[in-house]
This record gives sequence, C-alpha cells and structure tokens, in this order.
Amino acid sequence: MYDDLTAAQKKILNSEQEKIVLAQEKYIVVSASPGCGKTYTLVKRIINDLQVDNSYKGFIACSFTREASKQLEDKLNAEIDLELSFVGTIDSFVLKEIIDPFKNRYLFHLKNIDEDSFIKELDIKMPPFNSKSSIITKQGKTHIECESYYNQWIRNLINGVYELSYCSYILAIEMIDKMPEVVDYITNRYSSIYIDEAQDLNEFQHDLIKCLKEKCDLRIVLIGDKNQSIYDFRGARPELFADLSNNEYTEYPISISVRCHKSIMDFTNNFLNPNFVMTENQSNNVYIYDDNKYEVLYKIISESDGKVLWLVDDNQFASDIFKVTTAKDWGFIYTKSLDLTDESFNGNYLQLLEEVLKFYYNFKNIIPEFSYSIDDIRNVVADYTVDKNINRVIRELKNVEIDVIEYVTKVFQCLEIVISQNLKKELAEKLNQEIYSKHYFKSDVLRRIMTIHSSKGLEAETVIVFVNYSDYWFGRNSERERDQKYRSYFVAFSRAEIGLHIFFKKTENKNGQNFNIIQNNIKDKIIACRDNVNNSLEK
Amino acid sequence: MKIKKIEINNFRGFDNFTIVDFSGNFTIIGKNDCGKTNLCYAIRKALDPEIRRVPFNEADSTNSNKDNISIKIVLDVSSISAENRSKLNTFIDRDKTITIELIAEYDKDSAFYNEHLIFGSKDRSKKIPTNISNSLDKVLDVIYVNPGYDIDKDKNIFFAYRGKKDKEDEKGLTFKVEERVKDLNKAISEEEVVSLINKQLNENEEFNKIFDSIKFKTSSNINTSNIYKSLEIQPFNDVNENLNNIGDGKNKTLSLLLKMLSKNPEKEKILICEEPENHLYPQLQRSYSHLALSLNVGQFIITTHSAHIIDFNKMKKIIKMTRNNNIVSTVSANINGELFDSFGHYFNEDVSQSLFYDTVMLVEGFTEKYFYNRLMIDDSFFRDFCTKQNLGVFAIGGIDFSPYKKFLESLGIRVIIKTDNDIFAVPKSTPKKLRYAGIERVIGCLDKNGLKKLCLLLDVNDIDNETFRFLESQPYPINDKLMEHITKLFVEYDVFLSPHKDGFEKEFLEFVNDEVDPIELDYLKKSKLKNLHSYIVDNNLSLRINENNRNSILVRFLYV
Repeated sequence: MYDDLTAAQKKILNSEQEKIVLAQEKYIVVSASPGCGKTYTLVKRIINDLQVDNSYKGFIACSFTREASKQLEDKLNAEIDLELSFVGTIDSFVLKEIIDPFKNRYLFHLKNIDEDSFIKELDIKMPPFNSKSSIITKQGKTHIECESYYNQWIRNLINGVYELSYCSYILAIEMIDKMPEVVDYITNRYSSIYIDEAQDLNEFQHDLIKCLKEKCDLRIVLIGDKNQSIYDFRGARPELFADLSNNEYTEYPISISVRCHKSIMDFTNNFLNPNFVMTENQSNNVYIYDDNKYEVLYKIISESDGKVLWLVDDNQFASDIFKVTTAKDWGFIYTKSLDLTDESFNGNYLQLLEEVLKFYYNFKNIIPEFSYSIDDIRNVVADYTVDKNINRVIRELKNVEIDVIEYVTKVFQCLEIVISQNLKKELAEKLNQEIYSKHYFKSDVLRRIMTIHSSKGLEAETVIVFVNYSDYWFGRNSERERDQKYRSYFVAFSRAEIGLHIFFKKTENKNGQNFNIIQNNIKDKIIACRDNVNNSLEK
Repeated sequence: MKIKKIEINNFRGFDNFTIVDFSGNFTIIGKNDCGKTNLCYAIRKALDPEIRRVPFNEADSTNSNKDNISIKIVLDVSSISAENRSKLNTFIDRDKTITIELIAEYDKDSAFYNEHLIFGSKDRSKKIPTNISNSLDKVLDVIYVNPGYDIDKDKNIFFAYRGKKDKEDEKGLTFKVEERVKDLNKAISEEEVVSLINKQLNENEEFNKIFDSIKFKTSSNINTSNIYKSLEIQPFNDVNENLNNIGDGKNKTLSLLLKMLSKNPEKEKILICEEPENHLYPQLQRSYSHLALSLNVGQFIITTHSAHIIDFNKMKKIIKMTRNNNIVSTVSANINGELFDSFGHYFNEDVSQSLFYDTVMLVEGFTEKYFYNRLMIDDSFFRDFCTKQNLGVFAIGGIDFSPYKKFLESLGIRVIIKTDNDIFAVPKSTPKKLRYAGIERVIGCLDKNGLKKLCLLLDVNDIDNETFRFLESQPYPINDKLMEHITKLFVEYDVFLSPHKDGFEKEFLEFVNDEVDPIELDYLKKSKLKNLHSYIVDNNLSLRINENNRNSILVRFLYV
C-alpha cells in the first residue's frame, strides 16, 4: 500500500509519476512495473493533456479487454466529460471508428464496388480459438497464408461479413493510407491515443499504431510492462513494445510497486533479470518450501487475514487442488469460464453469454460495487440487436427470478440468436456446477484458486505459487516458450502484497524427444533470488 | 458552408427535381406560384430544426398522392472551421461534402408523415429523429428572411437570445445589475411611503388581536432575471433626437441585422431571402447584395421579381423556375467572368430585366424599340401576342448579339433578333474594304448545321473573318436573290435580318405607306429616334398590322 512505502520510495514514485503526467514529448512509452498505479497515472495524464489540447477534440483510450476498458472508463467518467472521446478495446476502436463508418466508401473508391452492393450493416463474427486467423496472428506477417487469408477476408467483407481478426488491422491501415477522409476524420476529432497493456499488442496492431503515427497528427502514449507479457499464444509481441524507445518514443519508467512489498518486487525483478541491482530491504517476505505438506499450506492460509491467492499453471492442477481443499473445508473457491464445445457459438457469442450470465447473477447483488447495472448490459446487447428491439431485450433481462437456462434462452431468443438443444443441455450441465456458475457471480470471497493467466491484474495479501520445475522445452520455439513461462511466473509472483510463498511441483515428462532441449533451472534460480534478498537485508 | 446540390422528390410539385452545382450564391426567379417559396421551404425543412418540427401532411405531397417525400441536400464544407468539421463526424466525404436526406413516409393512422433524417452518401447513418438537434444543427444556422418583415418579432428574438446567453456570463448584464437591484429593492422598502403603508397595516388594534403576534411589512421584489426584456432599440438622428419611425426600408434592414446578431458567430450560416425587394426602393435593392454579403455568410440565396436585385457580380447562378401541370422544372445559367467579357460594355440593367420574360426581342437601338412600343399600344393583335408570349423588347446597340442570345436561351427564354443589314467600312483597311456588318453581327447565332447551309449558299468551304468582307472597288458580292436566301436561313434561327441595306427606316416607311418617299427616308435617317417620333405624331399615325404590311420583316416573327 502507498502508506507502507518508505519516504524515499514515495519520493521516487511521485517523481516518476509526475514526469509522466507532464512529459511534453509527442510519443511516449511508459514501462510500468506491477502494482505501480498506472491507471491512476494514466487518468492524471489524460486530464492534463485535455487542458493543453484543443477543447473540441477528444482522445482515444484503449485497453485489451472489455472489462479493463470499462474500469478505465469509470475512473475517467468520474473526473471528465467523455462525450468527445473513445474509451474501449482496440478492436472496438478499429471497427467503430475506422472500418464501419467508412466501409462503403472503401468499397466504392478502392474496390470499385457500386452502390447496389453497398453494405447496410456488418455481420460481426469472432474467430474460434484455434482458427486459421488466430494462428496467423500468432506467427505474424511471415506466415505463408497471411496474405491469402486476408484476401479471402476482404471477399467476405464485400459480402457484409466482418471477422474480428488481424485482417481488421490490415484493412484499417489500408484505409488510413489511401482514404484522406479517414485521416481527416481522425485528425479533426482526436488529439491523442493512449493504449494500456501495450506489451500485448500483436504485430498487426503495432503496424496500425505506426500508421496512425505517420498519417494522423496524434499524440501517442503506450503503457505496459514487457515482463508481464504472457499472451504469446495470442500473438503478443513484447519485444516490439520494448523496441519502441529506439524509435522516436521517449521511455518513462515507473519502477516502484505500491502493491508488493519491496522484497517481493526485488525478488521478482531479479528472477527475470539476473543483473538487477537490489537495494536494501527491511525484511524478506519471500518464502520457499521444499515439501508440499498440507499442514504447511494450512498454516500459511490460516495465518492470513486478507485475501489468499493460490496460483498454478493449468486448470487440471487447479481442479485437483480444489477438490482437496474442498474436502478439507479450507474455504477456497475455484471457478473457470465456460468453454463450450460448439466452436462457432463460442467464437461469436461466448462474450455475450458471459455478460448476460454476469448480469443474471449480479443484477441483485447485495454488495453495491458488485452489482451489474442495466445501463452497462444495455451497452453490451446494443451491439447485437437493432435499437427498436433493445427495450424488449432489457425487459427479458430484468426477469432474473427464473431458472438460468430459461433466462438465457429467452434473452437470446429476443436477440434472434439460436441456441441448439445440445448447447442447452451442455449449459444446463455446466451451470449446475459451481465451478462454472460461481465464476460469474461477483463476491468478496477471500480465498481463490486460479490459473496464473486468470490472475493478471489481481492482487492478494498472501500468494501461494506452485512452480513447475520439471518442464522441458524443446523444438524450434523452445526459447520463446521458456521466456513466456518465466514471464508468467513474474506475473504470479507480482500478485503478492505482503507474503509470497513458493512451492515446487514435478510433473511427468512424457516425451522422449531430445533435440534442442532446454532444461528447467527454475528451482535454482528462485532459490538464488531469495538468497539475494537475504543478502540485501540491513545489518 | 454552401449548398451544392438539392434533390427533391414528390414535394409540392417537385418530382425528380435536381439542381446541381451551386457552390456559390444564386438567385431564383420565376412567376408567382411557380415554387420558389416551396424550394426555400424544402431547404429549411431539411436544415432548420424549428421548421423540421412540423411534420408534412397529405397536402405536401405532389397532387396529394401520399407517396414518400424526400429532400436530399449536399453541402460543401471545404471552408468551415476545424472545430465545426470535427462536429460533423464521419460523414464528410473526400470531396469535402456532406449529404443529408430527409425522408417522409405517410402514416395512415395519424394522417401525417413519419419523418427521419439520414446523414452520409455512401456510408449512411442510422435513422435520426427530426425532432431533436443533430450534428449539422450544431454547426449550421439557416437564416430566413421572408418577403414581409416583423421588426418587433425580430427584436424580441434578439433580446431573448442575448438574454439567455447573458445569464451564463459572469460579466453579463444580469450579474452586474443584481447588486444594484438588490440595493434598489432595499431602498424602496425603506422609503417613507412604504413605511406609511406598513404603519397602516399594523396599527389597527382590533385587527391586531386577530393577527396575534404576526405583523406585516412591505418589500420590493424587482427581478433581474428578465432584464433583457426591458431593453429597447431606439433610433435617433445626428442631432440626437429620438425618432419614432424610420420607415420600411430601414426597418427591414434593421430586421436583417438583428436576425444575424441573434445567431452564434461560431456557426456556419446560409442566408435565404425571399423577395428582398419588398419595401426597398430601387437603389437600395441594387445594393442589397452588398449588404447581405457584408454579413459573412457561407452562401446567399435570393428569390426575386425585381431586376434591381440581380447582381451579376455577386451571383454565381441564375435559376428560372416554371410550373407546368403542377410539376416544377428549372433551367439555370452559370455566371462567370467570361460572360461579362463576352457581353462587352452592354452588361447593364436591361440584361437583368430581360431575365423575367419568356420571349425577348433584341433590337439594335432605341428607334426600333420605340417603334415596337408604339405598335404595342396601337395594334391589339401585337399586344395580345406580346402578353401571351410574355415578350419584352430590348435594345442592345450595334454589338455581337450571340452571347446575349446564348445566355438567355440557357434560361429557357426564346430570343428573337431584329437587325439591319448594314454595310460598313472596315477601319484602317488599305486598300479600303467594306463588310456586311449586319451579317457579321448575327453569324454567331447559327449552329453547325446553319453554318454548313450558309457555306453551301455562298459556295465556300467555311466561314472565316474575311467571308463577308470585300474591296470597295468590287461590286457587292451578294446579290438580292442570294441575300433573300440568306435571310430565309437566318429566320430559321429566329434572326430577322433586313432584306436590304437601307434598314429600319425604309422598312418602317414600307410598313406605314405603300411606297417609300426618298425625302422622307432621308429625314428619318438624319435624326433617327427624334424624327421617327415627329413623323408619327405629325402624321397622326396609328401603327396597325394589315394584309399589306404583314410580310414586313418588322413583324414577320409573328407569323413564323
């Protein structure tokens, strides 16, 4: 917490934040360490910029998930008028501010499509998880099918079908490049663009930002932490983010963590960076355990007054632990989001379904901060139906007294989305289990088990991490995969506010193939870092 | 901001009605009831939120057919401020225009039209309701000046507008007088007269018993919230005397000024004036366009019945509207620099006047014009013809007729030309040359076909500068027979060339007498107009068309 920082730390933090808020350069990269108050700093920066810029212009603020953008929007709304500005995901920005408003002019001027074939409304589709476009996004522009898939995507677009994927960015770049009306619009309307979690931008998104930089007179502020980039499978390119400071961007760090105890942060930084210079610590709040006895674990858990987060690599292990803790009545919750077998439904409507479920479970939540408002769900469903129908949908949504499956069926019927019998069955089965239903119900439960990936952005007083030390990585991308893994542990360790407890776990290595193997020295690394902290303790 | 194109469908006689390519100020002329006001109304309906509030009804559709009505306007936004441009969103196209369309569908149940707006040309917005203020309303004000004027209404609106803005202004009037009014109220409450009232209210013992412990005081409550309502505009002269009445002209001008001052200066403006000539004497009419243009509006649209209003310097286009079988149509002519140059020194009020006719007869000079004026008074057949054809006669002097003819014809006006067939010397020619000046004057009125036919007649390959010029020493190259053919050819083009070189005077004498007295011919030629007038008056002549003179070139056009 801020008050727990030493006077020296407070001074550094304030100075770093102030530098960022007042920086004059046009292109800025903020490298923010975990828990450093970056949203707070971003809000202050935006407010400061607004006072300097033209009053009739707005700004663009993007985050990666809907939830994150919503949080940012709420914080901004409290201080300023957002009428002229765009706050949302970067996908949403590209669709709503570039592609959708100018699609017919694009077809007309660049594809010679005439008026009879203009698109009235785009049919928006999300690609399923392991689809071709996801694979291409991951590999980037070098993927052999990158261009041919894009050409097909354009043909689909001409027929009114819009798939949210890397192709959206290629199109947006083409539109900015070749359509002066698009450039004029963005330049006249917006003065700056701010992007949070910029370490997760993929290659195509980086290209878009480069294009915006060259063509539209925008101030650009990118905020992220390359150490916390764990979305390699989605095509994230932290190295491109890190490289920006060599390319006309000025880098401003925030190095102090308000969240984590200094020893924990020093340990975590040292874990990724062997050359990290550790300054004096008052205590060592990082604990390493050699055995995994339940008594040991129980002691840690029961001694904690606040939140406890138990982080593991994968859902299977999480599920196993959950079974044990439930049997022992330790009061842990483990939930995961719905993963439906119907790939196409998953791709197009899972997000919507999750929001509807969140609303169902939280509309009447006793705790005011956790309740889900009508206005918020209205914004979500507005994207899936015409204006005339929205009130009808809202009426169905308000009716949360009925069974959840019936509820979902009615709402989706109103939105004219078909739910097959098989899907209904699957939903009924899954939502009957707390592991799924509780995922959508917001509560202030203190003890949670989750995968590291789900824990991003969260924090707890006490964090238990089970580190897998017997993995081997092999194959062409072995180094990349290993770095990805280490960063995920960086994320895990930096969730801890007061106490970080690390346990080790060995798993079976089934594969016998031996080429290009990188063995896991993680256990030694962790022990060494913990020792470094010990050495930094004041005498 | 300027209107660039208007497309109207099924509104009060406008069907598939399109005017394109304004981008400047323009004037609309046409007979009463031809649709000028309706056109202005259509523009305001799409662009003015106050007018938009009133929905269309059955009578607004052409022939009350209850079909869909649509009004589409394309606006040129290339020169508006950056701030205004950003308010117009994604609708600005690459040619720096924005399109707005009002669509109305008849609702049987309510007997009114349901209306909505759509922005954008290729990328169209969702339906926007007409009863709220939209993005374009925030950027553009359409100022309408109707043919009459209501100075009181304009004063009220002006003060109401200023009053509303004033309340939000810390340095405003409301704020400033608040303290003083408070003091005034206090002072009044402390006045002797008021104290007396209070005393009287409280001194009756019997009444006081009922009132118990309650007493009464009187206080003053003058209110500052409507301070602007107590403001008045008072005209005064240079010796500081207040004036009661400044007359229509000045009041109407003040009305226009107040309208302008009641609008936000940051917004773009389009000014529509209907019949501004009302209440204005001619000189003021002539300078009206200067007045309007000093107001810094993006575009200025006028409808008028007055030649004085038409200012060729300021207008880019003239549009003439007509209504036939309840359907409106237009023709238009662009006005540009070349036009002025081609008209030469003769670009004057006559040109403006001629625009209001359906048929225009161009003659060389005032002598001819005088003849036709008299003919109109004396001969009922001619008079009827002129009324029916809405014909006007204009003298334009001895210059090239063709640019004038082209200009008027582009406005759908039939042009008849009557000219002498003179032969003049070619100046500075050695050896001395002569030219058929009359023919050269009207050669531009022939089209390609006509020129071809003329070449055939003259047995030449084509017509050039020298075709109608010859050496003085030569005999005249065109004999009477050939000249007769040539004049016949020109008649096909509504050009009535005199058959012989003696011209109008001879034709006139042939018209009124059977034969031509050479002395009289000389007399008329000597002092053209003056002597023509004397001749007619002295001889007590009444000009009449009869079997003998109806073939005269002077009136042949009546029978063509």
